Amino acid sequence: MTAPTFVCQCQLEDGSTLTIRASLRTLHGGTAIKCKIAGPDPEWRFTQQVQAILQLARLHEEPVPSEQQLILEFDRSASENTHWQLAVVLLDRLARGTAPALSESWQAAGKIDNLLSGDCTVGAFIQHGNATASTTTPIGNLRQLTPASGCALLRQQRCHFPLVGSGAHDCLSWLDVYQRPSSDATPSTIILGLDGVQQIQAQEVLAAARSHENKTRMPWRTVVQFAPKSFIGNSWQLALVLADRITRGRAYAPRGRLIATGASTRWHEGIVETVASCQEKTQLLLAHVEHGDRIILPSAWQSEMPAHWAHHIAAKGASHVLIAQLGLW
Amino acid sequence: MSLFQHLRQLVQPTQTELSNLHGQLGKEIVARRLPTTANTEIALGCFACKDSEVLMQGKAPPSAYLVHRGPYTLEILPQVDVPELALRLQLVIDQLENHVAEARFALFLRSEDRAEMSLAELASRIQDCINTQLAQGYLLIETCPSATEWQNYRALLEKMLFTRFGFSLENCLPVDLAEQIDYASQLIAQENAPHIATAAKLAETEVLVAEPISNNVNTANAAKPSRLERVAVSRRMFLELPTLCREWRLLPWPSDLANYARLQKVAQRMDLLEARYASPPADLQLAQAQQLAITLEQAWALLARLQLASATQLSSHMLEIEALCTAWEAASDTSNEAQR
Repeated sequence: MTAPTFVCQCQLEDGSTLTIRASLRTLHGGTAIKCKIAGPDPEWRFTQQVQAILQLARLHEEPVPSEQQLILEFDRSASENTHWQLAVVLLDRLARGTAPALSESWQAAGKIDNLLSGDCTVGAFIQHGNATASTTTPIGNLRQLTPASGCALLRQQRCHFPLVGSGAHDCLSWLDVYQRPSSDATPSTIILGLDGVQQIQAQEVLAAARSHENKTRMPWRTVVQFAPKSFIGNSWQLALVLADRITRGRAYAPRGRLIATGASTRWHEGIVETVASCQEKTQLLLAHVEHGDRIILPSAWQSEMPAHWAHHIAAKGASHVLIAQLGLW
Repeated sequence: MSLFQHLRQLVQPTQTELSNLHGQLGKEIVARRLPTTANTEIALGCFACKDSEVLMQGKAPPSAYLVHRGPYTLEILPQVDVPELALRLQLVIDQLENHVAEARFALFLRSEDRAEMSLAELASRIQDCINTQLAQGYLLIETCPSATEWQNYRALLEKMLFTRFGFSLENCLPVDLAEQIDYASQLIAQENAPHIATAAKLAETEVLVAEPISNNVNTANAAKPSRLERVAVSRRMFLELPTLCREWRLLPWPSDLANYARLQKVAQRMDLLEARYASPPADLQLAQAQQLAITLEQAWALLARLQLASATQLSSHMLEIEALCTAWEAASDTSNEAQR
């Protein structure tokens, strides 16, 4: 028996049409969301975008059975566009049967503005019916697609971390941690926006940082999204651990932005170790700092810190702390 | 008055009445109103304070409270939305010079006007105070606080607890409640029971709606709690305003001429306010009463912050004091209008 295929003709913001087909099959190893992109040059970036949207949208729902694999076929890549986002989420839910079936002919288009609340851009819509009589439903929030949505359970925290290298691409990058309680008691962690090796590293960091916590408690479903910038190094680790703690209510959230850099080989003990490029990173932070920012740095930097750096940071209305170990707080 | 002179050690309770009065005092119960007939000896670690005579209004003769100094241990949440991380506080009512702490706690007791002040009730009042401060942007624990930031937090909390409740903070330790509280399960429980919260909210609005027509027989019952609330707030204004104003005047204000006129003006407004609220049963609207209760909490917390501030910082808080005066004047104006 073959699973039904759902098709959507999606009109993108530049006027072109993207055809998407979705079907479900049993997973025999591999990724839970598989994208097949036709055309001479299938883009890895587009696949990543689709997977990120779907994994975050799935956090609004009950957990997806691990033996299911969603196959999405695109007639081309559309990584420069965004209005396929609503259609992809709807196809995912139709294929898994969590959204009520639509009439035979339908189309949908729109961008998802906020994956925490599920809010869509004004103008997002679903249109269904035949050529003679069709109805258009404006979609303001993903809740409208699925009757029982658990987005009130979702927690999110962004943490920034400085990236320095040759100089030209130096920036304040970020990662977002999204979590919700896993009511079926299976923990899961999905890392988006990193390459395979780094993904495993991030999983290990989270597991080690949580290792001392009581295992009998209700676990969380976690999705971590890294900013779409490729990098090498491990200075994002402290940012990940802090954002994870804050979203699970194990640390206090700052009023403003959270900025952290630091790594460790001993997260199970909460030890924060040093990372390279103190001078460059402190300069970068000084250039990018905003009022209300909370900056957390490894205490090993103490001796290397530029003179008067702390004063300049305080003068801009931000605060900083050097830490050697993550305690209760 | 003999109560105040009887501060002596009690080796063992001899009367059953006495042991009843002292029972649980210093444990689950912080203070208890004494029956007027009791000529109680005061056990070690306790003190007695007079109830407010003026406000009894013929309901009962003047009585007194028996208060145990503690120490009391209670847990509060510095941030309610982080329920697994708490602070364990150890509080005592110190026998300070001039009995300032006792006087402040007595003021709190009179304002509350209860037969008994339980430790749980006290904890919830302290938690309310902290929540009000957080909402205003004060008393915030930073992410990974440094030693200095933690000391500053503790100092402000200590000052606030003393100013408002007369408690000295003996000990203040962060505790992990992860063994008892699971944030994830709590979120799921909230999600599964939204109808309870909605129902409670609905009941609240009904009371608010019923307020303007409280003479109506059908709504009389619904309006009752709001009436109590209004009376309680009038009572608090009457009792607490004089102390607040006195403490503000005692602050080490800078003596520069630039601020002098402004300071004098505020002092005059406070005198007038004290006079205005000297007669407790002002006919307040419920919304107004609730607003006044919030401003009182803000005033106590502001006082605590000002007591920690340096003379040069004081001037920068003048606006806040003026805003509170304005709010109190407005409430008393409208309630007088209503009486006419």
